[in-house]
Amino acid sequence: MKEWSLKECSWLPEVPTNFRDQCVAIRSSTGDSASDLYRLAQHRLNSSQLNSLAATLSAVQKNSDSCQFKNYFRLGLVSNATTALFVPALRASALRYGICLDVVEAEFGQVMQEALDPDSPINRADLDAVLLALDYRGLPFPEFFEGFGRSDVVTTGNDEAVDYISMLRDKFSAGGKRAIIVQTLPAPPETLFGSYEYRLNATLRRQTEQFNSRLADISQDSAVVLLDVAGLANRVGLDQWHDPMQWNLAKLPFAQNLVPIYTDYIARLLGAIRGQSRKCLVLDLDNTIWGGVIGDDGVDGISVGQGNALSEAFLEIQRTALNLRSRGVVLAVCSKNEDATARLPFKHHPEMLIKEEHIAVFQANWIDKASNLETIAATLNIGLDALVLLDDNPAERAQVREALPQVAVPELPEDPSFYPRALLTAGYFEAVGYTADDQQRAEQYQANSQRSSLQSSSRNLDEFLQSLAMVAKVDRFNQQGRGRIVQLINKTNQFNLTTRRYTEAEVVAMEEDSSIFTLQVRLKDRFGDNGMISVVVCRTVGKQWNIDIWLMSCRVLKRRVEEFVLAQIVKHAREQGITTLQGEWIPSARNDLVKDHYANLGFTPLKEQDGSTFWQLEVEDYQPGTPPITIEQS
Amino acid sequence: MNSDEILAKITTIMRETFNAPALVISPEMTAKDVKGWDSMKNIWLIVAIEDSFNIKLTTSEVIKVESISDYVALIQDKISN
Repeated sequence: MKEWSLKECSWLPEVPTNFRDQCVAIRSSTGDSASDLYRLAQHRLNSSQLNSLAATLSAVQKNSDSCQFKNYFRLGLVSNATTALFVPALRASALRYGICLDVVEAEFGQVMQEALDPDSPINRADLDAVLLALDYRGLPFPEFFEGFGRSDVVTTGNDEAVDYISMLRDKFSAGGKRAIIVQTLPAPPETLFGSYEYRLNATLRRQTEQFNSRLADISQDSAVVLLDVAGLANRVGLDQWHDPMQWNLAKLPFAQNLVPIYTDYIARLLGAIRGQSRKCLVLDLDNTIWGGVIGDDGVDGISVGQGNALSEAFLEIQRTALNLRSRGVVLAVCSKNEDATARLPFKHHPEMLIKEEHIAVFQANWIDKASNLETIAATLNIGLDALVLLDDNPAERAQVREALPQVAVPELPEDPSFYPRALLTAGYFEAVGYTADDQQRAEQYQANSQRSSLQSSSRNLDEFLQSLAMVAKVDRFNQQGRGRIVQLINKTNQFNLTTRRYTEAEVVAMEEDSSIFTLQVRLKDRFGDNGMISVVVCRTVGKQWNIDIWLMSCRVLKRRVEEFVLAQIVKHAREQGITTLQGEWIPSARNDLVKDHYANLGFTPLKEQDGSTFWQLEVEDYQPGTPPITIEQS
Repeated sequence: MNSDEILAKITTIMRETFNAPALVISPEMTAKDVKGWDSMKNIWLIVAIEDSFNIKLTTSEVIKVESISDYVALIQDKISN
């Protein structure tokens, strides 16, 4: 077996022997070329195969208007070096993440001109993002021989380089409409002083390092997305990364045999920007998270824990899964086993790090894995393209890939010691942000799946809702809730009657405006805290409240929360002498769900205007329902 | 590996690089004789040759080669040493 290799993308399955025939077939096919291209892109393609796939994509784009990709992305590419050689490979790599990518290249060496001219190809184009593919030769670092060791050189040098990047960001971002992707800089491998190099500020080794760290700071508070090329180059090795012959020959910024991994790094980042990162890690059990077969070897016979090299390898795999879980990745189990047998190690093996409580969906049975993966996705209410399956068995992996090409299934090296590296290198969980919500996501999904299994065991919906023991906390808008209120107002699409978006400043103004009635609702149940789940804004007109915003998180759909919220609105309306509530449904592409919201709540239809429907409720006619939600006294 | 075998392997590489499955080459051919053999594809060709023959070409070698036979001679020299 070949050695596991980063630069060859070893986690991807081998290229089918008839790869070129398949490319030809796609060109002449009248079928669903997008999914054929997606399927073919999942393999370990080398540079020339990536180029062939890109040529196939171009032919498909040219010949067929009907071919529908899941996502489209238009990327501007600006560099101080030659980029044309990797553009086709980049387009092919993007297919791997379900993206049809078009690239607009700046002219060679025209970074400043492109930035400053509002009419330059990059500034003129309609782009989603601009990648500044600069290396250290493209940034204004002072030449070392112009004054090494002077402390002002390093300060000035770095300020200049950082200012330069900030200027490019401002010029290319089209007023914040485009994301700007900036690369961290790999240091050149050559040193002038040997080890002492690291003590001198003005050397490129230190300059690039300090620049990278300042770049991380910039990207915290602006539209800058980091592409960690320095991290990639370090993994490959700086001597491998920088090829002076290729630089001299054609100004190639890195060795061209690394194009497949470099373009995959970019593509996975574009995928993350498009929300394509995966959400759930599905674990096989026998010989994947422990050594041995639980059905044959028993709890005492399986290998996991301290003591020998192999059992520690499995411990490390479990640690990796738990680390991912604390990052927000949901864990599930899919194993061919008796359910009770499969659970034994979780319950009784003292050294197992993963416990049953960490697993959101546990599928141990003798049904095929593809069906179980479908169940897992359905239970968690996520797509199949959000799943990653870790499985030691090559035959199972191949079967799942064949049946469900959307599920990512990494090829694994023979040695389980290397499973964590394979899993974490594959780019499935690429992030462009990390919030408090992400940290709790695994638990929220898990609570949801427990709720849904409770639902299937409950005889009817009312019984299920009763058993949830829901407790709501209701407040007017306030400073503590503000961040989440603004987020919900700007992100909620489905359960959103009007889809009116407001900025934080406008929300602050609402808090202070006595003619505006506001409501924020949080909901807990026996499985956990759902956080803030509903927001209402009413504007007073005489003795009437016009409901300007009513939205709810889909996490708590079909739980009669809207009935509860209406009761709260009515209660406050009565206290304030309001006689009438007027509601409005403004249709959007995504809010069909709430078309009958007001009808269901007993409002009477008032009028239709420009596609919107208006509804009215006389406060004194209101008949309260009995949603099984109690109110928490604050 | 004799020069015919090297030529056969270069043919495979060039067919892939230039996306021309039916391409037939002969030793005296140069870039201007092959459709699509521009300076950009030439870099792809160099990288692919280095990879598949597991050799490293030097800067002076790369800027000197013109014909297919130059490549064959160069490769033969590298792999026999």
